[in-house]
Amino acid sequence: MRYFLLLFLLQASLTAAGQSCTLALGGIVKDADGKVLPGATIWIASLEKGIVASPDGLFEINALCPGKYEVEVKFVGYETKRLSITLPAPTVVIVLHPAIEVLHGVTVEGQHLRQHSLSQSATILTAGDLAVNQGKPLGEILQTIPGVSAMMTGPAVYKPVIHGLHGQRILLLNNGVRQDGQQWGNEHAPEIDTYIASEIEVVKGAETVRYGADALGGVVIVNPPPLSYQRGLRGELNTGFVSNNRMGVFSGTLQGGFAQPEKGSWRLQGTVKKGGDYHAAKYNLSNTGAEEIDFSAAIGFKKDEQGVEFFVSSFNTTIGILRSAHTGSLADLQRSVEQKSPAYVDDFTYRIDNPRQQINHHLIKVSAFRHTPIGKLTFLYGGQFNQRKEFDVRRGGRSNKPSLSLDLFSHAVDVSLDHTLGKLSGSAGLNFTVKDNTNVPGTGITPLIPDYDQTSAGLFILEKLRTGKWLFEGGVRVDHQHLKVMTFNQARELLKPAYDFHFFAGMLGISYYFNSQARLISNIGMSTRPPHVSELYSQGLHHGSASIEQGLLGDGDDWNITSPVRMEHAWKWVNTLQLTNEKVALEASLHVNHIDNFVYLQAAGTRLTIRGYFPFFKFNQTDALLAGSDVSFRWTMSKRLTYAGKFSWLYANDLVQHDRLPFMPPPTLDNTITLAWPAVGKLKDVYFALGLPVAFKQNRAPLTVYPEDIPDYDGHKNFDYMPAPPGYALVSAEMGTVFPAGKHSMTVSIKGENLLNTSYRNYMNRLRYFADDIGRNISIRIKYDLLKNDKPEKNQTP
Amino acid sequence: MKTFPRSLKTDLTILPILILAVTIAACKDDPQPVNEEEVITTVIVDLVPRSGGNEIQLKWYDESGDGNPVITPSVATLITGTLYDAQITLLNETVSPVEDITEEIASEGDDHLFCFSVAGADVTVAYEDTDESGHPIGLSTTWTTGTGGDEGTLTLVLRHQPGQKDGTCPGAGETDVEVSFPIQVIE
Repeated sequence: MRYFLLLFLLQASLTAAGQSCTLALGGIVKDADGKVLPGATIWIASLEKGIVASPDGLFEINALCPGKYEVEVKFVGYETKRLSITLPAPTVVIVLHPAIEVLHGVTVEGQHLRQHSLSQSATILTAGDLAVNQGKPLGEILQTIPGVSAMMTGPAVYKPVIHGLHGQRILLLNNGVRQDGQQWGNEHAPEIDTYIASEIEVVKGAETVRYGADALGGVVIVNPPPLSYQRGLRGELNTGFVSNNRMGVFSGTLQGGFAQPEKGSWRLQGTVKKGGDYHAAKYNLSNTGAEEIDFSAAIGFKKDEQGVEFFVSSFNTTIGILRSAHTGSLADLQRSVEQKSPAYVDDFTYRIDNPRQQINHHLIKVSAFRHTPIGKLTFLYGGQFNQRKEFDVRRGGRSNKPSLSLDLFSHAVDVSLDHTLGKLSGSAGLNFTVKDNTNVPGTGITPLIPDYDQTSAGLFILEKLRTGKWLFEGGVRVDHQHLKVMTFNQARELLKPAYDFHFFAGMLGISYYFNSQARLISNIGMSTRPPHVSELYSQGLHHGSASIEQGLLGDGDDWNITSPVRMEHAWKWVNTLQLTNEKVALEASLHVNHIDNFVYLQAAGTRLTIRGYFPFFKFNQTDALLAGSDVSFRWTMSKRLTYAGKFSWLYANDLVQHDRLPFMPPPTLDNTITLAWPAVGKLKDVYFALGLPVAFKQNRAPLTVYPEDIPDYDGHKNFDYMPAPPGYALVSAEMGTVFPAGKHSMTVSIKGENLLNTSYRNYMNRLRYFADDIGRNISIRIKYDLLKNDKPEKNQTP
Repeated sequence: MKTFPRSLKTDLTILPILILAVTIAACKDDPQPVNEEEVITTVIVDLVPRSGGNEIQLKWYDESGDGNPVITPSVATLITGTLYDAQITLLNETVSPVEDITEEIASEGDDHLFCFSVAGADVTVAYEDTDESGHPIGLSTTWTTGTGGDEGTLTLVLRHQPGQKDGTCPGAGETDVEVSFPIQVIE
């Protein structure tokens, strides 16, 4: 009914505005599956004219003058599309893609088809958001999203944390392929070049039905721009300079389309990065340099109802770990905890010494799709080779020998069929993965995790039903995993235990539009996750934390390979309310995650070794509750002035021991005021922004047991070596603009972080026992677009 | 290359399946147990009174190198007012023949420093050796006893300080050895 009224009003305004011009803009609005979208609005802002598509999806706006028009097409539940159409023009076919974030202002709309359930709470970082942070590690960039934090190992290693969970419980989807790296270690950051991405999306709910057990805590989706099948050469050059670690980064992309023999497209991309030691407010953080060389290439072909794409990428990095963080004993750790600054501080250098990590990650991806009478069939193969070498400070000239050297081969095949049946649409598919992890011999150190082979297969179905203001979603998944471990007992005999896990996942979600300005989404996901090899069979000494670890199946000094393995069972419920009008946009979410058999490292006494006492941690299982809230708020005070605030907090509890859980992110509040002008003289998109990010103290940090007190500590409560650091507020500022540069354009941004050069320690940084976080940091980023044809793609076929 | 049905040959999607099949078929060699290379199982301090008398050997022995040490003697008794020449020996007894780590420490003297601390007993430790930069190493020391008293402990720490050694204890770097011996000075 509302639409008819709107239609009437629009018609009326149209008639009033009608003059002597006689052209018409006509067409049809469909979704990606070819279904027509009656009621979609087509709006020409410059004329304040528009119309609503008829029940068969058709529309026609009459009495238009010849010329170029910016047309906006909107439909509830779909991404808004903006087109530039020059009249006279033939009939246009407008394809809208389903969107999760339709409410303007809360979160920006993405350019990709959503790769997750529509009832999930998700946030997209667009190309614009990424541009001002480019060159930073992926995990650091993601921290700008409320509810997302990072477990840090110094200034260059960031591991994404979503609602308190990380590692094996967070899935990273790199260009559609699940990232298979060494995610088990707290000091292992994702092996992804962020310059590949044109947008990054974070799903904060359990998306286990589609992606399997790894997505229990959430999903990070790194999307490169879709291949453009337009003819002509295009490109982009990026450079960045960062003052704190004197880093330079260069990245370039070149792409083109070709018409023969099929509709084809290609893209080449590469990144080079080199930075030296970072600097805290008062001292140099010796040996925190990093260097990186990455490249990727893609080629795609499209013909009628089918297409195929090939993608290869290579990520290669060397990262220095703060020299003073390498501890040999509890006494060393005690000294670090007592001292205000690290024991070893040297002058700035680009040289990277031990301890250091050297990581190579290579990916081959083949994807193909075909439209069949029942729906779109998609096939994806991803092959990955991950090499991780860690070098420690060693005796007897062994420092060039890695202390840890792992090769992980993985293969994944995903087949899915998207289908539509009236109001019902959905996706069904199967995933198949094989992993082969090998410790490369010659380290001279017993490996922390054993060799293993893992094969898994999963089958899922997800359906959604759209009726009026409601959207219902539901899905189920069954999985089978076979795990074969190769480890040694105390008598140095080879053990080959094998495990078979059967598990399932389910999801239910709704989305309800109260009106065009308010929406509620709610998603509840049930997931099961078998423990990872590292949780079952870890063993050895961690230098960074000066602790000895043992897996779940450890029994005294040996393994009990036959003891039963309990899987984690999680229920995650996320509710999000989105409100928006011209002035204010608010998104608030509440999440609860209850995990039975939650795997964590529990303090289990001490061991006296020749290096003195070490705390002994054993993987154990408990029931955990994680609950919290994320709020983002945007207030458009005037045409130029905007305030944006983000707040998140998390409560985590061990329900069995009634204890606090270690390394859970403290509450954070981020404030930004932006002053923007669409154009100043020849400059476009000019803005100044002032930021005040605040991190509160973690008041629910576990018990503090100083390293020197550990030999006398016989409790089993979780503990930390140091009290949680106090909260802090930093001041940041940012400005940017787009310059016209001949036919091309140049985007420049300058960003200053921690402008007051505050000394602080971040609770989530594992090196906070040793040193402060980084001090003042000024960065300049320049992007040069070699874009020749910036006409949007028109009349595209779905 | 084996031949496949023509219809499959033209289908690009078969290629990854092939790769996968080959991978699954590939067998993996069994891993070999790792010989730990940097293990120190044994710390021995030989004390020889310079003016003659009973020699004492302090020994800290950990069979596996990862805990449960045997420390002998239960309390080392030193004689009052005596100058002992002390010599430290480090061994890795997990390998055969036994590896003498002392040589490795001596040859990397620039990177290593022994630190000594005594609690509850009147014993003074002085360095008797130096590295190429003139800083002490501590493999050879003298232990001078004062007056008699109760049981105390002598803690011996080996600091590994590549590129950071300045001769002070504990200084930068990390600990390779940290062992404590119960000692008592008697008449």
